This record gives sequence, C-alpha cells and structure tokens, in this order.
Amino acid sequence: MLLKPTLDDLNLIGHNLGRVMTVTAGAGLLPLVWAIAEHEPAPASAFLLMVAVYAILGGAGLHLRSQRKHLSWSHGMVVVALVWLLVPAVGAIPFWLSGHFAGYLDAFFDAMSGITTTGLTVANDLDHMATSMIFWRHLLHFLGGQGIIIAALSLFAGAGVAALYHSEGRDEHIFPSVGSTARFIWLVSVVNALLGVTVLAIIGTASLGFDVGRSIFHGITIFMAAFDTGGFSPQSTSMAYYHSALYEAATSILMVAGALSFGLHYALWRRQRHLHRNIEARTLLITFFGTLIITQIGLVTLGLYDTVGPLTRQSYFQVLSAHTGTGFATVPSSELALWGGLAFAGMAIAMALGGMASSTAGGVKALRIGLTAKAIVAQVKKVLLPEGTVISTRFWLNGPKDLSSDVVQGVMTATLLYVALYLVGAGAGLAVGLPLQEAVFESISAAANVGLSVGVTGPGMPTLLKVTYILQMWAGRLEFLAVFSLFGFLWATVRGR
Amino acid sequence: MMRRLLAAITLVLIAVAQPAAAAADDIDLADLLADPAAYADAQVALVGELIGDYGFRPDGTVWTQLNDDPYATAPLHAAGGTPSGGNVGVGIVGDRSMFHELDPPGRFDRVGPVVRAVGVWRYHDDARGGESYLELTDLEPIWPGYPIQQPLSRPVLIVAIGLAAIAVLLLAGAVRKQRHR
Repeated sequence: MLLKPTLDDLNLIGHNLGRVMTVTAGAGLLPLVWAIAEHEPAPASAFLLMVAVYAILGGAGLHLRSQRKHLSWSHGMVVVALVWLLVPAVGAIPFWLSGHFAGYLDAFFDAMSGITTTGLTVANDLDHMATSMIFWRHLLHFLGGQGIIIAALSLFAGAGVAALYHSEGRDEHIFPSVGSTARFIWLVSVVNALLGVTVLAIIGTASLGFDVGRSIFHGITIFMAAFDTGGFSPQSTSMAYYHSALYEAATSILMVAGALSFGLHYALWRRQRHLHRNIEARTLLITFFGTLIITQIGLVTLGLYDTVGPLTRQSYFQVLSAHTGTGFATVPSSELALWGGLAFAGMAIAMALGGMASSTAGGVKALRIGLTAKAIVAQVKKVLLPEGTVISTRFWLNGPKDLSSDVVQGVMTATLLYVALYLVGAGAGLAVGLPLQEAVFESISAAANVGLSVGVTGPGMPTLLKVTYILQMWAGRLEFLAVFSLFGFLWATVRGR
Repeated sequence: MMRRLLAAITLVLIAVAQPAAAAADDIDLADLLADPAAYADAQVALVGELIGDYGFRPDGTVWTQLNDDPYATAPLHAAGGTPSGGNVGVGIVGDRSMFHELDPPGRFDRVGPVVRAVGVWRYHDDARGGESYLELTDLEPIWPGYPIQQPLSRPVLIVAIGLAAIAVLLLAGAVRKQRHR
C-alpha cells in the first residue's frame, strides 16, 4: 500500500525544485545577455520573460519549508523527474514567441530535445533564427548533458544530495562526496569547453575562412552539441554545412569525449593504469567497430559509395555520431533514409546501444551491454560445465568487481525497458502510417537521445508522434526509475492512504 | 512587406522569362535532394538565398549555403512569414571573384541575396571524401539582400518586466528568510 504524501513531503519536493529552478534562472540570464549584446530586442524580451518565470518558480519553492532536512530516494526521484519536465516547459517560452514554431507543443518538443541532449528538431526556418535563440538551444544541451542537478549540487550543499544525483541516472562516485564529484564534472566540462571552442574557432577562422566572431559562435554551439552529445546545429544542414574533414575530426574527438563516463575522464586525467581492462571502454570499442563494419558492408551493398575514402569518412562520422548519441550528420536526412538493409541495421544498433553510463550519452549504455554479455557467457558456462561447478564472473570498473545476480537483474531490467521504449515509439510510428524502417529508426533516435533523422521528425509530424517522442526523450534520458517514481508518487497522491 | 512582394514577383518573372537553354537546367533543390544520384556530375541551376557565412578559404574558393525555400522571400520573424517546414539547403562553392559584388548572406537580421547558381552537381565526390555540393560555374545575382528585424512585442515586454519584478521580490524574500534561520 502506497502512503499518501504529506504536506511536508510536498514542501520538501517544492523546496528542492525551487533550488534547481533558481539555478536555471541564472543560466537563463546568459542568452538574455547574449540577445542584448547582439541587438536582438524581441528575443531579449522573450528571455526576460523566461528568466522571470524560472525565478518565480525558484523563489516560490525556496519559501517552502519542511520539517525534514533529508531527501529520501523517492523524493529525489520525483524532484528530478519534475525538473526534467519543468525546465523544458519554461525554456520553451522563447522558442514559442520566436515565431519559428507552429505552437507551444513544437517549442516544448525542441526544448525537451535540447535538455535531453537528443537533437531532433521541429523548428521552421532555423537558418534565420536569432543567434541568442540558437545559443539557448545549445545551452540546453549543455545544461542537460552536464546535469542541471549537478549544477545545483555544485552550488547548494545540503543533505540528501546523493538522492538527487543518482536520480538523474548517474551512478558514479569519483570522489567520496557527491558535491566533490559534481565539481569535478564541471571542471572536466570547463576544461573541455575552453579547449574545444578554441580549436573549433581556430579551424573556423584559419581553414574555413569564417570571420572571427562567427568562428567563435560556431565553435561554442558545436562544442556544446558535440561534448554533450546533443546534435543541434546552428545551420539546418548540420555538419554538412562545414564541408571540412578537419572540422569533422575535431568534432569527432569531442563526441567521443562526451560519450566517455566522467569516471573514465578522471582515470585519463590521473593517467591511471588498467584503462584497457575497463569493461565500458572495451565494450564501446567492440560495439563501435562492429556497427561500423556492418554499416560499411551495407553501404557497399547499396552501392552508395564507390571508393574507400568517401566510404570510410562518411560511415565513420555517421556511426560515431549515432553510437555516441550525438546526432550530427554530414548527409541530409533524405539520403540517410536510403541507408537500408545492413546500413540501417548498423546505424540502428549503434544508436540503441549508446555511450557510457554516467556520461552525456543516451541509449542502453556500454556498461549494461558488457555486463549482459558477461552474464550470458556465465550462463552458457553453467550449462556446459559439470553440475555443481562454481562460476565466478568478475569485471573491471574502477577496480575488480563481482558480477552478482542483483547487478545482472538490474542490468537486464534496464535493457529490457529500453527495448520496450524503442518498440513503443516504433508502434506509434506505424500507427501514423510510417514504413517500418523509418518508424524504428526515428523511435530509437528519440528514445536513445541521439537526434539523427530519416526525415520523419519535422514541423509537419503528427501530434501523436510529437507527444510520443517527447515522452521517449524524457524517459530515455532519466533511465526510467525517476519517471516511474513520479507516476507512483502521483498515484499515491490520489489513491494512497 | 513591399520588398518581399517585389522579390517574389521578380523570382516568378525570372522563372518565366529565362532563356530556354538555361531554363532546361533549372531545378528545384527539393527535387535534387530527393534523388541526388540522378543529377551526379550534371550541369544544374538552382535559385535561392545565400545564407549563413561566406567561408573564404585559403585555396581561393568560397563556400556557402544556398536555401531554396519560402523563407528566402518571407523569413518567419519579419512580419508575414508563415511556418512552412524546415529549410531546404545545400552547399555551394565557387571562385572568390564570384562573391565580390554580393551582399552579406542571410541570417536573423537580414535576408541574404537571392541568386541563380549554375554549376556541376558533385554527388559523393571522391576528391572531397564523399561530400555532395554544387561546384559553381556562374553565380548570377537576382535580388539583393536587405535588413530585417523581428518586431518587439510590447505585451510580452510588459509581462516580462512585471514578472521579473515579482521574481526579484520573491527571491529577495527567500534570501532574507534564509539569513534569519
């Protein structure tokens, strides 16, 4: 029997929501300042409105007081699930007022796509969009990828922060305290930002011939979309806009950095040994090259690329983008739709598997894939070896660990939930009349927070699909538990005792 | 409004009045993108707005994007444009001399020049790692670019200022409360 939440529960949740909203209001000042600096008065007024709404929600939440000081796990889960709904709901206001979206639902779709680092878009006329508005789209990637909660944790020390941290789908403790871990994540991000933007801006100026200001603009936006494995682009033609292998190479490095867990970043910074034994790194390498080979065989079979050079460059970039969950493309969506057969299979599998746990990438995650494979091998051994043989399965993740049945159960549950989520979206696609391949591709892209499209996602997409993809992006990013907790909380509010 | 109307009329007149030889090669970009392989290495002509950036590369070429969509004459935020879907664009490249006389490319604050771009459609070009783009042989300006501005909505501004004032009071109250505890 679920217990009905008390007023004290609601106050505790409201207070913590208020904290996060206040931090988000602070982040919202950045596009406001940008709009003022760029002489974009209409977007500036829209951003002022957005910041005001965030701040009102924040201020109202901070006024709520609870008898309890500690957030329980269930409170944390509910807060996080609500944060990931409220932030895009308010963040959609400037998009809605920009005139580039057919209505609020479309604006909300893009805001949800931004915060969940998906990158699917239903924007009209992106190429004439205000630079401050584009910056806000990409900043949503950054906030979502680095974790709004992480930002709040870095600023507000307090009891029960671990509940919030884990509710956002992060399992990693790089340092003993969650606050220190949060600050390390920001340190990694800032260092990568400085390096990434500088390198992209230099390439933009020296190689692509953009003026310095525009090179920096492209550098900032592309960095945020690549490192946070988001996929929004300042131009409608995505990475094909740049026509530069060098720019693609620099972006590839950022995409890989974004798909690595922050624990692995820490290990790399500390030049720790045993990196080659890390189960996630090994799994990611195997699945990346596996899906790359599958895709390449498919493309050769289709006869889309005649020679090795183009085949390698185009397949490498698209598969890397899919596997890291970024969603950049160097081919138009109409052409991606022609990647049938094995090329489709390679891309779909790459998207579905995703990057590392506790990274900015979505999908099932390399850790779960690796552990699932180990569990299957152990099961096969159990069948083949003499009865009564004790089989101990170990794996390496920041040290040697035993593969317990609890871990296997958790991994299998999450994997099954992802598969179910992919199927639900594909079913919705089929329901509105999409061909199977397109329905599956787009559904995986939304649920695994990738953002590649074969042309289905767009302003003219049926409302059913927009709503389905919004829910998929939200559930996929939060890895289900927080979402289920919110539904349970609402149920308890209505039917609990 | 008048300028956009004139631009639209001009585009229609050009489409109708083009010499027969040139008209044979004129295609919609949407058609080209729907079946890009069919036009591989063919001479084609596209009409559209130059948008984004002019990338003046060290090798003497300029890369930019050409959009063939309704927003070339009616951007959404500049009073009157209606949502008509995503942009339809493609990369074009030509010699630096072709771009000397052109206005800056289109962005939020301006409509870029509308041009007739004639060139060879390079599809999955081996020499450029499989990129697809239009290699220009001629770039003919049709209509110059012009500045645009999104009108400021006074109701939005008034509501925003009002809510911002409430937000400041609420946050100040919360901070005061925190200090008292």
